[in-house]
Amino acid sequence: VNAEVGVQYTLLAFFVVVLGGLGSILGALIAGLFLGVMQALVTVYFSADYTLLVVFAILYLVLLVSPRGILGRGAA
Amino acid sequence: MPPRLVKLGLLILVLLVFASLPSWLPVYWLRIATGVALWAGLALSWNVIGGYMGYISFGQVAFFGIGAYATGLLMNPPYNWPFAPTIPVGMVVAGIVAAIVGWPTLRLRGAYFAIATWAFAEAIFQLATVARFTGGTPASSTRPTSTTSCWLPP
Repeated sequence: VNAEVGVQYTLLAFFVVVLGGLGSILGALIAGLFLGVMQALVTVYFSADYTLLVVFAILYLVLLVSPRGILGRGAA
Repeated sequence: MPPRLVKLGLLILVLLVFASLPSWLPVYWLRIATGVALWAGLALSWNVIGGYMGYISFGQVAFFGIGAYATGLLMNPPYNWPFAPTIPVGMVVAGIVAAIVGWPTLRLRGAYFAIATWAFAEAIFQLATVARFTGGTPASSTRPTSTTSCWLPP
């Protein structure tokens, strides 16, 4: 434990919120479940090195396809 | 003397001073001068998209890094290019990637554009740390060039 240990979780929480759409509670719930399961799957079937790459790739692609989050309900 | 000519003369003078730096500056200060030119270039690139166009982009560093890796890969074996011709190649490669990425990304607005470019830059960063050809976390380095010939073909 150190002073910077919270940053990675805050960052991940921020990605989840963006992925679900800013301001959408249901979106954040679904996006959190989705990202968490994807991270676990990648760690098991590929390598722990690739988890962040997959997370950022998913975030980028989802933003391209549906700019307001996976449910399309985020604030503009 | 019209002010435009004075400006042009000063510009040429500064260019000449910069071009002559490798032949007389100590290595330590040469490294700092290189950093100055490097970060000034990155800042100018941000000024084009952030300053003139009003897009908040965090993705500049990704293209910066792609150009740098293009130069590094071409200078190392098996290619062993001299330094100078790798610069235009790095520019073209980074430009092509930027065009492909920018085409869909520039349709996003405001905070979503900023976040998308950030996610892209982070994805490229993670790719660079896991990919085989970049040398991973310890990164790759090019063979050293002598200080006087670093901008001339050897």
